[in-house]
Amino acid sequence: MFGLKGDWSLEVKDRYFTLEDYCGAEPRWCTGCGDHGILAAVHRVCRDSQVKPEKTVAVSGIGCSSRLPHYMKTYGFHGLHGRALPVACGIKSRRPDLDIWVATGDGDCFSIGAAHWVHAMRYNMDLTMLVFDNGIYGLTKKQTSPTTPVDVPTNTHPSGSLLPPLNPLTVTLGVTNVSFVAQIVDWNAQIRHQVIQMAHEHKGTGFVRIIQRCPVYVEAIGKTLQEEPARMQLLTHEKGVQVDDSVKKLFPNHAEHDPTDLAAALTIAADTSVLPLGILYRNPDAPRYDDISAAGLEMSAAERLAGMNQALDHFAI
Amino acid sequence: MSTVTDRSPEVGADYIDTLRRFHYGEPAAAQATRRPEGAVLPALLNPYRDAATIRYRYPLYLAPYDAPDEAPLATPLAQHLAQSIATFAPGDDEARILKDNLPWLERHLRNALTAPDPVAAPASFEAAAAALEEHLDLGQSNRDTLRSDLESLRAAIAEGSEFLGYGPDAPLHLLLHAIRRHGLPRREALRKRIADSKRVLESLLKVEAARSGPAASGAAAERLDASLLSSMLDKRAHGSVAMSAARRARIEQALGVLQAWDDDPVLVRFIGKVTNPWFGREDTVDVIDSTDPCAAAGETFERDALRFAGLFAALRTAALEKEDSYDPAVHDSWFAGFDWQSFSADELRHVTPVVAIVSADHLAGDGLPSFSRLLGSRRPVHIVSWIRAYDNPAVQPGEGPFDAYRFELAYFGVGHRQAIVAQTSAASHDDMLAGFECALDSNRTSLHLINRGTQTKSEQPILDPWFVASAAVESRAHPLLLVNPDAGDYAAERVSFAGNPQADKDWPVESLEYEDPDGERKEMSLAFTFADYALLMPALHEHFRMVPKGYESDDLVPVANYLDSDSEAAERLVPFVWAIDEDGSLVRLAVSRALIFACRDRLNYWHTLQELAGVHNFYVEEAVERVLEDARAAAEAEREELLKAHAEELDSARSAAAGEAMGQLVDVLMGADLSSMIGDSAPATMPAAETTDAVADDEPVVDEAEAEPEPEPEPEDEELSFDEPWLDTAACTTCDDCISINKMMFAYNADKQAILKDPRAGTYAELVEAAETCPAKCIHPGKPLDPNEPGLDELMARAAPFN
Repeated sequence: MFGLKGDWSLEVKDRYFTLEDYCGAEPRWCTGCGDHGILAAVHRVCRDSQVKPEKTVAVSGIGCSSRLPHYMKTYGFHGLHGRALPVACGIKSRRPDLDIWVATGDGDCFSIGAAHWVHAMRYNMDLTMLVFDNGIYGLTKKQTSPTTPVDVPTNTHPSGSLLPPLNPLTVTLGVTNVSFVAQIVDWNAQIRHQVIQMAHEHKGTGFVRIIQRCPVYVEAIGKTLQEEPARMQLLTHEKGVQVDDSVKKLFPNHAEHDPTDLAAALTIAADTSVLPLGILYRNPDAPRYDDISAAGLEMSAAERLAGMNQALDHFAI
Repeated sequence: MSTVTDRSPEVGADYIDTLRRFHYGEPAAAQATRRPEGAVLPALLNPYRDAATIRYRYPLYLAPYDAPDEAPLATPLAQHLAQSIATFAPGDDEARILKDNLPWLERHLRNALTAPDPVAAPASFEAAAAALEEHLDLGQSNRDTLRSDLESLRAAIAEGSEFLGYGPDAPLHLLLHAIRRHGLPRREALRKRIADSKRVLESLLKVEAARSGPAASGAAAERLDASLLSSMLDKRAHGSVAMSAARRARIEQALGVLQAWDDDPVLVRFIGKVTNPWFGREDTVDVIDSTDPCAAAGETFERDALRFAGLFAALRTAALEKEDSYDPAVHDSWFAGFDWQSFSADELRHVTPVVAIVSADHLAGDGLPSFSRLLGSRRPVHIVSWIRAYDNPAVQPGEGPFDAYRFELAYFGVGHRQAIVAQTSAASHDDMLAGFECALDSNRTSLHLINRGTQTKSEQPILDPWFVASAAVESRAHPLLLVNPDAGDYAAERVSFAGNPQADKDWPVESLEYEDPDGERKEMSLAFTFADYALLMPALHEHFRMVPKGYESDDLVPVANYLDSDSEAAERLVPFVWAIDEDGSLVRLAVSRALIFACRDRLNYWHTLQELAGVHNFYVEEAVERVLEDARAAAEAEREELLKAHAEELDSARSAAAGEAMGQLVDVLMGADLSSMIGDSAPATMPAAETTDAVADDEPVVDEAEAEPEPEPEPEDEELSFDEPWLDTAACTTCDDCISINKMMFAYNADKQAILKDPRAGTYAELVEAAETCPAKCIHPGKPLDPNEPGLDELMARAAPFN
């Protein structure tokens, strides 16, 4: 009406945050490590969405990836090995107003933290969960992780990993009430930024597996994919990733995939002949446990005591 | 998002009777029903409740008077800032902090415009820029970037430009701005013409004074006729002839006028009630109070025109004298009657514009005779009047605004045929300025009927004035109209209907999203009628009554549907408008018959204007329908004809075929060997088909030399290569590789993506190494910048895949 165009809103924020406001300590990851790019994407997404740094928490477990909270000028929790998700869920259940990022790795999440991973996906609390998957335990200097490809020699398997790697996508998609599953590679800035942004905007647990280069211990994993882009399949859709032609050109193998189709997502995830990139599944209507756990948070101590007494009165004789 | 919150009606099913009686004006029913309370808004206007959070066309950036002609007089501030930023930071990632905070800057500038008058834009912008820097409190690096971008933006705020906020005097400020923009160059041109003419006349007198005296004097002069002697000379050698006394007197008189011309700084005279003292303080504005501004404006123009008549006569005399073509027999009498009606179009535009500022009540009341006389006078005087769109200017004391058909001043103006009529809204500055400029470029009387959304008789409207004024246009309460008789004699040439929303419809129709009691999102289409606009005026709330939440009746219909229904059905119906109360609940308000009467009146006027502007022209539509009907009938007749001809041909073909077939059958039967129909009658078999392989084997071998050449492979995308090194920043993954090779050569931008800071800050070897290491392959080393660097052949070979 009134000939007002789409940009008619003049809402202004009290405060404005630049990248600097989210940048913490100088990263100490190795030169060429894919983690640098993921961190930059997290900073940019925070800046673009203008989340308040004091209302943001970065939670991690143990591993190279888990150094991320140190590099964020926000609240952070560098936790125990495999326990990033329980801590993040705990924070969210008591402080649903906080914006929570979870940084974990293939060892931290898919191995020692596997139980938490599965249940956190089902609880579907509003978190942005980034799994830095380099296919190796890097911090402890090259041990086989659940996603180390077959035949890649490591310090624990010098003649090469023996078993086929775990497929985190099929596992995650198989969890009841999962709501957002995506996969990206760290070296494509446009897709990386777009997917992490969508995971952040998603209400629920935004699971993003990031194939990340470790140039020190398993350089070949990333290098092979970079040199043979046909081994990846870019999934695009109006409800998923949308890229311009310059990016599409980098991926000779691309397909349209509707991320609301769980069965199709499972089929794509199970096909290990190509590495799917993009949003595999997205369901914004899945119930969230933080909606339930937040009930009564606004009550005062006296109100809670009264409620408890009322409940206990049922058992009075 | 508004909601329908209540399902359970608080009244009985027969409540419709009470509402119906209210609709028909029964006082008891009005008492028994509830008026809308608080800030109830028409449902479609609810999103605009908080004007502070909405960007609309004001404040305006007013370009300086000496700006290039193509520069618009006024541009919405947001548009000017965005366009200016795009000139120095076209990319999304450039000037990011400034772009992100542009709404803050814009809002700060808007809030700083507390007075209703324009302010100097450069100073205002600098203060806002400083406030933004302080508000953001950035680190040094970001602060420097922002400051640099703000300085670039400051350069787009020209010296002499102004910001103008929305207020009751915005139209007069814009009119003055347009007059200055048009008037100052004209005034300068006139000044130059006066100076040139003075020089010409002074030269003529100087030459005359310097002329040598008579060749003979005394007794010789009595016997010697110098003129006669001159006439005997060759024609090319005329002697000098003294200026006649009459000519000298004429030149001296004209020079006297030019020398005495008072270069008055006044560019416009405002006549009438101008309450804002700002205009009185301006030396370019002459404010004259008057109880009958139209009459006073005519007289003032006459006075000014008389003064200018002397000037233009002197200027014209100077031009004639310069060419020595003044012919007293012709020109003396012509100059004797020289008044403004003899002025050229250009001369008329030099006369100081006179603007009568009159209330609509006065124009439609006591001032009507002088108003009408002025409109018909041919004097290029401008009339500006403020229109209350909900009211009737001809209403008498004690009458309601809907007691009579509305006196439409614009139509009254159009009735005078030769005046420019511009019915505009202050909310739509470009339409309003178009009306002003049309009048200033013309030499006709002009009438500007402006709605500002600010003027009411009693209580103020609920919404911000800009939105009230805009709603008046949307609801057909104040349609936009520009009639320019200079454009031609026909309405099609004269009338512009631009700016009216959905001009082909009776009422604009918009969609409204709401939530039903079950929390489900729904959408409905709503017409924005005059009744919706009337709801903005608390003084008119007497014409509305709340329909209890949850109350349902088939007899309740939206106003637009009610107006479309036939009179018999309308008798039992009760019209209503959708509204939203302060709690965000969607409610219905029954409407009085008096207001419906006004809706019909406005709709009728709207239809009249539509027809005038060529929208839904009855004659055109009828002619089109007639032509279509004729075309359809002709097509149908042709079709019938063709079908008939086809059927006849078919019959004839059938009979011919039947006859022929019968003849052939007879021939066959008469001459046939019937024995072949008995016994071994199996048809001879066809030879067996050869195998595919055999065919393949027998395929002729085509000599390779004769074979068609293989199609050329599709050329791959053209490989581009560059001599200069470059970095595709958008593709950078922020891996730190290049930065760790040379921090002087590579750096991060504001998005923490690499840029090629200085390719000369390191060696070509480093550039090539960075390109090889880069995981995104976004570094392109180009050719070496230093031809003396060792090992270039090898480095260039390594660089080749990345260029």
